[in-house]
Amino acid sequence: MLKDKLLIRRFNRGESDALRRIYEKYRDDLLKVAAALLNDRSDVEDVLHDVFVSFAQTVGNFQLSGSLKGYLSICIANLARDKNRGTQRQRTVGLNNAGPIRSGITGPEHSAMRSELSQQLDYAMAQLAYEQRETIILHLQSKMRFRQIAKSKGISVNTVLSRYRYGLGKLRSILDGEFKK
Amino acid sequence: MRYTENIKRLVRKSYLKNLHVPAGAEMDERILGDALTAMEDSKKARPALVRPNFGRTIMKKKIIKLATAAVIIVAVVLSVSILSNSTSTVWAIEDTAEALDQFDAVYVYGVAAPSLEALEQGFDKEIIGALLKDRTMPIEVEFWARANEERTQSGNIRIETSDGLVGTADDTKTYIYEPNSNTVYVQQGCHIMIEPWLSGDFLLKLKEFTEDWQVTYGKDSAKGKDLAFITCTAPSLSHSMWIAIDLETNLPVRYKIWHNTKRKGIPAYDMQRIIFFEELPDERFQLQIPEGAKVVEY
Repeated sequence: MLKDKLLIRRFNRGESDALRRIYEKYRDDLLKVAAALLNDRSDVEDVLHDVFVSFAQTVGNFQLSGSLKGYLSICIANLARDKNRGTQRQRTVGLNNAGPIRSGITGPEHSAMRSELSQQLDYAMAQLAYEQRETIILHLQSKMRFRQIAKSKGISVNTVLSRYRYGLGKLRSILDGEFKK
Repeated sequence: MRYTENIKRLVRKSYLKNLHVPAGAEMDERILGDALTAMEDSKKARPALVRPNFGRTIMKKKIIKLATAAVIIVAVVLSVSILSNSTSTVWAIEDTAEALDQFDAVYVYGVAAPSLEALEQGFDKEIIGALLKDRTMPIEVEFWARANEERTQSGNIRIETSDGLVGTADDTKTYIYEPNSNTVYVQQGCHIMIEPWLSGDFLLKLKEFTEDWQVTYGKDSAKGKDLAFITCTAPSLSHSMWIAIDLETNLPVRYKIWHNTKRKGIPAYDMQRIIFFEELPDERFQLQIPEGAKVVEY
């Protein structure tokens, strides 16, 4: 946290090395957040790109009130939601055969590498409402506290908690159903 | 609870860990290159903003008053039998530090005997008089608390004693309902708190700060759980502590604090049950003013 504040101070002074460090520090986590939230995973890299370009434009002005990782994760989540809406619109126009989540990396080799459980989880996550998926991922991957999520989304903690609980409950019932097959 | 934990573990270990994401120097080059260009363009557009401006830095210092019923967390006596080194699991402080950081809220039940000195640091004299009147210490107490954003202390807390006293506090106000006089005392500021918060960072600092840090192992004979027991002393505060850690969850389950360095006599705080939560609902921290209660503001 202190290190982040220092990085932000240096970033606001216009030090390009600070931006590079922030990118390297959070890139992998943010890519996972994007991959978990996007319906079309070929957009993952673009979402990270757009978030970092927007972030870079705040130089000199950026103020950190919570955690930097949380802030960037929320940016990723917001952009992923917008992208998903775009994808949804495209689908209704003519891509009705597209699955709920499409991997940008396909082929038998990749499929073989993924365990059956991962695929079941992938499927189950895709069945969740976006808000539930978002809450679960921001909490478990970005380690954001429920109150942080509530504050950044402008909703009550109780709403966040109920999205989280219902999301986990739905995952459980989907997985139970899958395992019984 | 178990189901929830299992699903969370599945999501973390089997889903997120295996999630395939793009990687490579080409991607880094493209993203960083564009971000750095955007940064330079913004700098040119707002040159004045990127000069260091130390004169505008305002350091805010929060003055924190320590309250009594608060300094706490934890512990107790129940039926713990110490069977030295009888378990094969070895406790590591890092595991407990990591486990503590998964939780933002806590429920604690136990027996506490706050000192008058501690009360005087937090409350108006008239409130202290009302709190101590017809009340003997130590007293059974339970509280619910959640961490502030920085996880340095509690942000919200609710405390209840066995004789009906109820207190709540947040950043702005402290409410105390005293049942004998049917009065709600309202004092500006936060006067009931847990400080420092039981975070992983706190535990690591506790080890550095205290002396005579020792770890032994044993079993909770009532529940059959393997436990690690930490004892330590803080001579500068004239405090000594005893903490029991559940080796399955790596979380503290009991805690005692003595206001002496020898762990002698009745502990000032003897907390017998600790349950951690990821979050607690807002309603838990709101005080419903009983019908007909007098409200006195300070």
